[in-house]
Amino acid sequence: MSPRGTDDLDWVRLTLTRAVARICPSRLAAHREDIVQQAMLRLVERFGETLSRGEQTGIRTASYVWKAAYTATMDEIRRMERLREVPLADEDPDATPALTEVVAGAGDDRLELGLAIRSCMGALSPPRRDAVALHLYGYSAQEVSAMLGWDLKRTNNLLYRGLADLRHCLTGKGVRP
Amino acid sequence: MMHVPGTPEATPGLDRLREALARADKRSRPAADCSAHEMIWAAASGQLQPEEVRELLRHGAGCASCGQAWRLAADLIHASGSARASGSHQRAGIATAWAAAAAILILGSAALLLPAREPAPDAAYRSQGSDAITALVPDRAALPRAAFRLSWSAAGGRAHYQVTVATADLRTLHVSPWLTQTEHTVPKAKLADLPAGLALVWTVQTILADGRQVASPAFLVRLE
Repeated sequence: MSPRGTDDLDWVRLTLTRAVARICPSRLAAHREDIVQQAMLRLVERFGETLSRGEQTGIRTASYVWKAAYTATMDEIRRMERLREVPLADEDPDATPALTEVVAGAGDDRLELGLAIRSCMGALSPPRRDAVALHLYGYSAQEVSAMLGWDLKRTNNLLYRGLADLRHCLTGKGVRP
Repeated sequence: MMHVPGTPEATPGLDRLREALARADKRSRPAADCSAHEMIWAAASGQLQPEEVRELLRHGAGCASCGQAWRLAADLIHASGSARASGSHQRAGIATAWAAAAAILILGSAALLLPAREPAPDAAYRSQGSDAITALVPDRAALPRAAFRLSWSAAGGRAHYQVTVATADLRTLHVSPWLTQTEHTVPKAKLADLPAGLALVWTVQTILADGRQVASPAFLVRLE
């Protein structure tokens, strides 16, 4: 392996490690290294196929590596969810993490608010609901505008009105928004 | 995210709403099965049409893990954008590295299936001591595709195992369901198109009764 190759592989691993550390839920902290490893394998596998066809690799930017980190992290989240979703025959279903987590969350006002938000979102008009959902997931008005194909003025309007509707609904449910 | 006055981001209490919704998603039981996260990344990257994004959002209303996927994608895309803005984003010449890595794999090395050279302090628990997983199939044994039975030592207690079988260039051929027994037969159909004599790598992922996760070393067998 050339020194350049070694540097680049180190850079890929470092980028993956940083990306996974950034987004990996704390409950999966013990799995971080495995997630990085899975992402590395995907990149190697994909690049190997590209090479065998004699094509240029598409791996030229950090964004591709970050996507691999995202996919591997989501796969691990889904894998762990499936584990708790389908208790094996010899397990006591009353002891599954999902239930214990719900019990542990009783009295949690943020959880209560979150569940109420979900319920209220269903009552919003579809354009407001879509805009507010993306905004609550962390996307800016500009990003919402680009994703949903609206101009920024309309997007801002839908967000203001949608958030106001949401707060009104939450208050009606007796939950402090 | 920076909150600019006069924009929806500056709405009082927005962070509290975001945090509360995220908490509800984490606490929810997951949807039956959802593999929408690739589409969600595409949407967040601006690669989908608005109608496709709306369809994804409709689906996401009943899918807790989709909420997580949207958040993770936003976080990474924002971070990626920051890196691009700072000029550290572009990396030419990565092909060299991947060519080298692929060459290693084509030589049949299973090294990349093994733990990283310098695991982080919070790395997954690795197979060692009394919990070590060892293959009960001889190293490089030739197995018939009609009875491709892999077996390994028990980890003790009520452990659950998942077997992954891959080619030496790390193309995954088969992933077993979670098992309580310490053997697994790979379906013949998964091996049908492979040439005789091909080296295959297999690993066992274990979740111990106390919740710790154990990764076995990579083992080698050959297709008869």
